[in-house]
Amino acid sequence: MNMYLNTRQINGFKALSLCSVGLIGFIISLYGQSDFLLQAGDVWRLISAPDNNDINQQIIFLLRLPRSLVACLIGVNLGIAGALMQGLTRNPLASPTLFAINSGAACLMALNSIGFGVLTHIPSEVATFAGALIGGLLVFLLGGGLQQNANPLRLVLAGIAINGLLTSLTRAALIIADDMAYSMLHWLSGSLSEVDWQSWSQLWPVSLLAFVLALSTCRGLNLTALGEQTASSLGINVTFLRGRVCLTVLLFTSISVTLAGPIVFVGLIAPHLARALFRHNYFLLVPASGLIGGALVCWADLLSRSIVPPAETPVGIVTALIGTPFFIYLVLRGKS
Amino acid sequence: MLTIENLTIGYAGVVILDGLNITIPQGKITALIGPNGCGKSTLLKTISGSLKPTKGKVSLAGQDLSKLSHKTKAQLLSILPQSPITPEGISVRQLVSCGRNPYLSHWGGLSQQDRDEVQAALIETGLCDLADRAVDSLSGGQRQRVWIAMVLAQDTDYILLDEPTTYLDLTYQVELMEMMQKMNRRGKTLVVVLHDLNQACRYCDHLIVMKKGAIIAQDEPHKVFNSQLLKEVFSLNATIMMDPIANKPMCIPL
Ligand SMILES: Nc1ncnc2c1ncn2[C@@H]1O[C@H](COP(=O)(O)OP(=O)(O)OP(=O)(O)O)[C@@H](O)[C@H]1O
Ligand SMILES: [Mg+2]
Repeated sequence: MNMYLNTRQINGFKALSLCSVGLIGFIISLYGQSDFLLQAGDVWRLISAPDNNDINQQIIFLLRLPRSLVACLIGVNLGIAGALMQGLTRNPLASPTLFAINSGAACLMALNSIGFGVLTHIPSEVATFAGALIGGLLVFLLGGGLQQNANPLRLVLAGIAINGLLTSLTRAALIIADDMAYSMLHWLSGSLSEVDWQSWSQLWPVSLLAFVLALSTCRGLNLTALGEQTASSLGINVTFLRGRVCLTVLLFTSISVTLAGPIVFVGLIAPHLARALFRHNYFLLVPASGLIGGALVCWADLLSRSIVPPAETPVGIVTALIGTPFFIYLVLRGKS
Repeated sequence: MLTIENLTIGYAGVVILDGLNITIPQGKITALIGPNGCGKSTLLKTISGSLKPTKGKVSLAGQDLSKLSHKTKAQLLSILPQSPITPEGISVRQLVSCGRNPYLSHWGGLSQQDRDEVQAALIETGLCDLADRAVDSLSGGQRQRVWIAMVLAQDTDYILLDEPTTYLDLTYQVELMEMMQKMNRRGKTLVVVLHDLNQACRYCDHLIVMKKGAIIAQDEPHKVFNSQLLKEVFSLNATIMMDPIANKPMCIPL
């Protein structure tokens, strides 16, 4: 029994450290790297003595706070989505990118901005979200998601095919609408610079729903780790579980990509670090991947503003710069 | 009683089992024997419901198994797959606890009764000392016992075991067969895939002999086990003698 308590304490300590890392990043991102010379004190005064006429407080409240909140929550979303994907496919290299969600979103956004057919009449955010869902669903259906004994590899292949198709459609749209190319490219690199309180109010309800769904799949994922056959003989409806996990990943990723464009590698790195810290229990892995993802995007956003100030490097580029070496390390380690 | 009617199943359009009719007697140990690749694992997977038959049905006490919910089915019938997957780092106790899943409510954890059942399964399989070890750090035979403990913890009336004696040394093989007999005396019905024909005859009450996806014979060992059958199914020339200890048939290859 003593042993048991110990692992519990150790896990608590790890979780606490993760929270602190995230929180520190969050607080610094509220005032760091500003043209207005914001200071930590301004953040404190915003909490202790809010003053509508204080320009620094207003900047933090209207610009910085929503941006940091959205950055964190998007990181949480992507981290959890990655953990779920890896659990479902039992493949440590799976990530939400597999679902063609990013390319689906990009495609419809591009078509929307060049005024393609009916798409002209709907707001660009709705088009982007719809594109994300369509891309994801296409991969899910083509990948045999509804079949009983679908091979996870089929999902990967479907992902590659649909991704290719949607990406080339996006390119075509960009070539037609040359003047849109810059803002599209900016979005395609994953950027948090357009984010405001409205983004936050769109983000949190969807994320909350997806989070509840994610928790409900944890036990199933724990058993899926024993193989689908064993999971099924232990009373898990594997087809139903797969559907729920895919829906959850779709919600998490679609809303994130709609608001900030594709922020790559977070969904791959976060679950790996989480697994290194908490092993295989999804009841711990899901929140931990979320925490790590949140901290990661928060710090990456901070970095993105510090590389060449006052210009902003899109946050997706920062995560890619961190993520690529990590990915190569994973692949090399897997080989040996 | 577990009955299989007119069962047809295949992988990706290739038919493996064609129109099988099998009756598995209740409260007995049934051995499933046959050469490699004849469809034994496929049959067990279909009975357990992880493969859907193209035709025919599996019923338990007259009730069509495919109509039951996954959870209800998992309370009636458990299976030890031929090559189960061990997740990295999972401990023995955690893996055995997975066997209790069919009894948990959707959001609930293990109850005291669940923990007691897990402990009993660990004791039964002699794994108490290893309970906190990681399963992937155990030997092949120890690992096999962990999986058997998981099936024990699932505590179902029907138990399917796909080659449970692989990796086990002779002592543990015999121990496992005796454990099966003990479970059987407690009212469990077992179906076991075995490659050791003499063990099958000695410890099991009923034999099902398969070849290339078809049933060649199904009955008590002394009724079906003869040199003609061995010749037909395994292309093996052997002589049959009575085992002087258990008074069951046994074969000696010539
Ligand atoms: N997933 C699969 N896809 C396609 N064919 C399969 C698959 N699994 C098994 N088979 C084929 O089905 C046949 C029966 O296989 P099965 O695993 O049931 O044999 P078995 O009797 O259990 O053999 P063994 O004694 O070697 O375990 C074999 O010819 C095999 O090649
Ligand atoms: Mg087999």
